[in-house]
Amino acid sequence: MAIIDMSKVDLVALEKDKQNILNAFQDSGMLEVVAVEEGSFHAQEDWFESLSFHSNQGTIEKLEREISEVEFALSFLNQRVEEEPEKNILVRSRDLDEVLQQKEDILAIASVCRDFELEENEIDSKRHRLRNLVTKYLPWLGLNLRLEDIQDTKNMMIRVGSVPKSMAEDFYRLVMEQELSFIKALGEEKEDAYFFVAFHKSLRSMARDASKQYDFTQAHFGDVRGTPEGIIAQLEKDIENLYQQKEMLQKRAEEMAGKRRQLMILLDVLSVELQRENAAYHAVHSKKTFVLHGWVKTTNEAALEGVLREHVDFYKLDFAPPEEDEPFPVYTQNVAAVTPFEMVTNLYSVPASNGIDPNNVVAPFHAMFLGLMMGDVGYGILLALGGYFYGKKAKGGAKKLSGVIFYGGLFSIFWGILLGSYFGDVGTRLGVPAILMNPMEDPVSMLALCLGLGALHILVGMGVKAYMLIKEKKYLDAVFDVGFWYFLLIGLPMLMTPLASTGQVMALVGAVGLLLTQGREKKNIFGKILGGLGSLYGITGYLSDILSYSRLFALLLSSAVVAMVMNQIAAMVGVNWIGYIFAAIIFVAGHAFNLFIGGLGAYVHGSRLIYVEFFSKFFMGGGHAFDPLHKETKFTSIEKKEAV
Amino acid sequence: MGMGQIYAVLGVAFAVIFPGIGSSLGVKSAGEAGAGVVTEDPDKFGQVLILELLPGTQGIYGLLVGFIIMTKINVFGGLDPVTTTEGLLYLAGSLPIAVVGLMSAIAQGKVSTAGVSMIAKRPKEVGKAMILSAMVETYAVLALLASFLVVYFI
Repeated sequence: MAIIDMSKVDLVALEKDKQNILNAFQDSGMLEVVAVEEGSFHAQEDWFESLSFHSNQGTIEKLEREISEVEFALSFLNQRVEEEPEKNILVRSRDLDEVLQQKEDILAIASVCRDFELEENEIDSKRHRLRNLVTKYLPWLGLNLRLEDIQDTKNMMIRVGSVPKSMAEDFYRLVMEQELSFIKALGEEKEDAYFFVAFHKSLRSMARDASKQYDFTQAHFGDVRGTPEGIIAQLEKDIENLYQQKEMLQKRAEEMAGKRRQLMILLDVLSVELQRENAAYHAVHSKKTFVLHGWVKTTNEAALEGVLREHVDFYKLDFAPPEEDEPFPVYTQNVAAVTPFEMVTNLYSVPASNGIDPNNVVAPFHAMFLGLMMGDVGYGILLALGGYFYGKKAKGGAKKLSGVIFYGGLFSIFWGILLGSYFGDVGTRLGVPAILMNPMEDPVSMLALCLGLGALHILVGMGVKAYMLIKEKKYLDAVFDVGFWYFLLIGLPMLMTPLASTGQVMALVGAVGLLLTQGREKKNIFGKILGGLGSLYGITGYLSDILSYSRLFALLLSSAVVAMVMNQIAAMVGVNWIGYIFAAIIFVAGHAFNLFIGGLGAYVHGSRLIYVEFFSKFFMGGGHAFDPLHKETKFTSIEKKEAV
Repeated sequence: MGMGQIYAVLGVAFAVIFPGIGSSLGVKSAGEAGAGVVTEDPDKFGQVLILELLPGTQGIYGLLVGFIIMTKINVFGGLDPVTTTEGLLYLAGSLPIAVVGLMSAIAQGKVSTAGVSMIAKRPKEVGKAMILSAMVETYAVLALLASFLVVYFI
């Protein structure tokens, strides 16, 4: 249970050594660089003028641009190339230098990708346009005429066009009935029917009326030449051409698949550089020197100075403890079994630097609750094994999560044995007894056990608060704010036991004590009394907190019942040899499903009990996690034996 | 076949139907939002899946109560006789999880959907999104508890 002490670092060194120093710091990963407050220089007006802040803004912007180009090229190629990109590339520092030297060439790949994308978009939009044209000419396929030939003759007027389907028949009949006219139906499409009409000029006015009445829309083709059939064939050919062009592009993209390795290495190299420049952004420069402020673990002071001495000759390095009430970056250090649970705490909030590291109390309760909600030996073994083996190869957050699962699994085995649950009721069916109780047969005792664990959890939370108050030497506050509540909360349930008389006294002492002390911050007498009463009303809060732990029971029950349902179905199916096979499939798939859903629920609700019911009693969050300058890479790791 | 048995089976049906509807609606809305996020960034599938699944538990709670009633009236062994009063009691006992399960799953689906859009922008905050969603589930848990205890001790 410890938040590590931090020291403030104040470094002054020569500008020419800056890159060298930052490189060394990034390799060592010990120093978090923070901004130098501009205010701290204002006093010495005469040389303040010569200082420059954030002088590497341009470099940072350039790096960010380059990074986004490389990222674009990578995702462009990944989308188009079937083959998965290499994962976790091992590189030697020689490779890194090589990649840096070829930076311009590699960035050129990115611009080639940009061109590809532009070209592809152009092809796509062209193809879209041509497709639309094809649909425009499709209705006229029945017209065996060249479009440029559709022209009025000396005596005849010739029209092509469409009328709405509903009127097509009447229209057709009308034209047919006229002398000196001709009509040909060309086909129908969606809403409209298409016609070729020819009539003598004397019918012109009648034609005008008919065209209004039947909503005839005349088609114009402009100066397009050729038969509709020929036009469409040409269009299809063009489209086919475009397809081929796109395929060529795709092939060329596939040929570039091999470049992805270089792109990934460059991306990591640039990101590491950006991390360093982002730290340098905080430095303040004069003409020849620069100032860097930061934080380092107090235990690492000497090591940091060692790094510096190894690389440069001239520097001035000072360490100082944080001032009182000055927040500092928080790094929590715990024993191996507790470390995974830092993830649970940090998900809520990093502890405040002047607060307390709660992980030692979070760990046992979270694991116990998760285990109880799973509450099964079979599931516990699977969780513990999964967590163990996944944790062996995982890194960072995933490693911590697998630790949480591993310990949750252990507790699940423990509770499973106590409650007699082996893959649901398989144990019960085989006659393995429950050591403590079977929650399906004695649900009320089980519920009481869950609420009891909840009460214990809350009392421990208040105990931590008392510990914090005592550490701050506020002994009376510890008695008033925690001690009296202890009396009341422990005394009340004792009323229902043979120790009722003791309980009565305890509850009374607690209640009266709270009544008298909880208004002590208030100025006047009424405020004091009201404060006391109001605080006593807070007992409803404790009641609902404790009731909230009934979720332990509900989730335990739901995973147990789903397991029973799966077993029941498997048992009903498993009546002969073929049935056994299906029963086995149902058994495995059903329990896998239950393990996943139940495990997710157990994790989420276990965390919730920690955050809402437990942390509200004592926890001070809002800290800032210690984040030293280091090399963070996505795709590559430097080969060990060559690592500097 | 007496009225009691019909009421009891109706209780099973209520307990399974309504939370089931609620859960499928809740999972649906979170899943739709999730599909949008995954289009942009397929790597977020794991996180999205977790948020999508959270409103799914009400359906399981409903099945749980339904299953308890089924074992009590011995559906698997040929259906025991049930008096009308008992049957109505089973039906009444299934109501808390039926109604609260339905509503809370829909509500939780909305919070999960909001959580999905939250991790689209801040993938590191998936834990907070999970907790916000789990807050809604508290009331389904309380309803389950009430339904379970009533049905169990009839």
